[in-house]
Amino acid sequence: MLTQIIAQGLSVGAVLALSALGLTVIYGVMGVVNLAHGEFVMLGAYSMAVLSEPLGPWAAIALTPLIVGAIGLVVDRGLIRWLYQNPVKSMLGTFGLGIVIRQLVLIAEGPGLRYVDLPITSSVAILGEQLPVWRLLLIALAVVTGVLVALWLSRSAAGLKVRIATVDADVASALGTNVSRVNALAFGLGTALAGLAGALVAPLNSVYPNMGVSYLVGAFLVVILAGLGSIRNALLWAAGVGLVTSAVAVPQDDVLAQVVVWTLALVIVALRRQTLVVSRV
Amino acid sequence: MLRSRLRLPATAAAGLLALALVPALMSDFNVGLIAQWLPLVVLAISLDLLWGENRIVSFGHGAFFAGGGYIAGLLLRGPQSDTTGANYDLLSEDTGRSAFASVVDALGSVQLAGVPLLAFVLPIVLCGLVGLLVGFVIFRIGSVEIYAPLVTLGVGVIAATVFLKLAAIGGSNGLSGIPPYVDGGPQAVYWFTAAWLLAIYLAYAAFRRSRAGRRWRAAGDDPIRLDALGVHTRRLRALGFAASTALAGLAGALYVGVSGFMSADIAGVLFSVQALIWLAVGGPGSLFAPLVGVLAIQLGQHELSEQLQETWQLLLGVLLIAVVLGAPRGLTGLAGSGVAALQRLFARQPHPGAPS
Repeated sequence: MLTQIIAQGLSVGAVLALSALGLTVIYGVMGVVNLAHGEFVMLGAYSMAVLSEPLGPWAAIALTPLIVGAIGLVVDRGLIRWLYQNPVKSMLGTFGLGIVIRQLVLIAEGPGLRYVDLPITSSVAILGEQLPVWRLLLIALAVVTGVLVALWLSRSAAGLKVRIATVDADVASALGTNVSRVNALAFGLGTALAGLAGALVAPLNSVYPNMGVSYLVGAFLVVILAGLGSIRNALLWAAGVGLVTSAVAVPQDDVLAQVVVWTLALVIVALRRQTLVVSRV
Repeated sequence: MLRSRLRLPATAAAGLLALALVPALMSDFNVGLIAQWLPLVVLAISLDLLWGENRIVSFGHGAFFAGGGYIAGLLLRGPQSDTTGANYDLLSEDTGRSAFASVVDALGSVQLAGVPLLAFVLPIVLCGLVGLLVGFVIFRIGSVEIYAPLVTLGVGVIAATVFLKLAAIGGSNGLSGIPPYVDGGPQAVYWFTAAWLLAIYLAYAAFRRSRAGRRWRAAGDDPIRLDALGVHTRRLRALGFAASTALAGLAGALYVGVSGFMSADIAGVLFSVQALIWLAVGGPGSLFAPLVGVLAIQLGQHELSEQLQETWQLLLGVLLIAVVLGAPRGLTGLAGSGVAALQRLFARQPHPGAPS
């Protein structure tokens, strides 16, 4: 059972990590707390559900982040840019956005559950237990994506611009960086990551318009623990949350797992000596 | 200033008149409907105490509202619960269930003039204590304006999941068949609830004008400066948070007395945000925002949600975005600037050459 718990925990953590990563990048760059993030995960899952039939699962997984990221770009230009650097305003505005996306999907696709077939149905034996290959692949993909995003931010020229704009938008602008383009890029990247999380998790869970809330809440749990702004911390805490969740959920049940995880999180936060500093990326 | 000293009694008289007109002019059905909205105004006041006066946004007040409602509902109705639909029975053993039943019976039997007193006291005390705990955590983290919404969001999610699975409070069926606090039909229930609302509103108006109210506002506007002035701001804000959750619990207790029903949905994030939308539409920080916001949204929901169905929720989302972008001070803010514009229009223009 231990292998089972670790594999399931890490795959839950991988999805959390991808969603939390998107939240972190968006907050770090533009000071927006995106409460519609769960809805972008949901859009990713729906994109997977719609595209995997005609195109096959792999093409669907590759296309979904692009599609959701493009939607994110449009939303950034249409709404998010009015909410920059104002966390409270951004929370209310993006919650409204979340309602709008959810209801549009509900009207277009109906309230029913949709299912996506597992792209890989086989399983491998590790330490005497059968583990589904898809879960292992999901973990690997999340780690690779996280590392790539971190490398892009720290090594590439575009990443450098993002980091300058994060530290001081005015200075970046004076030095010739197009800050509004950087912001749009960051929101597109964050939503694309959410879309990827949705596409990867769709074969494991059922897909429905209200599914976003639980991913939003999970991602926020990670963010509360890791602090908004640190990619490495977000990945580590996501793994931790996933492991604790499955350590309770596998032998007991999901409800108890959620209660245990949140209680632990609040205790950890309350016992911290230092108050959490909100650093940016 | 005489004018500002008269404003509070004048407001109270106007409020009393408006509340009195409802049962005089409307059918029993509509009186019953409006009576259900009055506790929602109390919930909106509890949120305004945080958001409007202290810049703390809570995404979890529905949990305290529902918690208070469940407690009051159990005490009003008694513990005989049908447990179908509840799949997580914490009190599955016979002994546990009967002990629970006798505790509920004993608590419900403390009555004053036929009203179970503890149905008000327990929600206030328990929701206040939980709120104190949550407030302690929030104000320890720092960056309150970001982390308060996140932590309260989590509290709401836990509460909704747990309420949904607790057989003792009806599980996914909810707690139904709760009798009202007073006999005598919708009119009596309306008056009972309206009296509570008026008392709470007056107390809130008085608090806003008091020294304590000004200190509370200062703790939100500039906590660091207030710290430097020697006030233990973190403790003050945690206490204020607890007061707000206690008021939300009282609102829930009043609500079940009117609606006769409480379900786990109410504890969830969506209802908590609906409450935030009332306030955003009303205009946080304004005395009348809770009343205006609740009436505007609930009236719209009542009139439109049947015909529009999913589109109503869509409209609500669009409305929230529009208010956030276009009218951050809500309807009361719009009305205020409208009045100011009219005053400028009708004010006698000073003659260009006149001495000032």
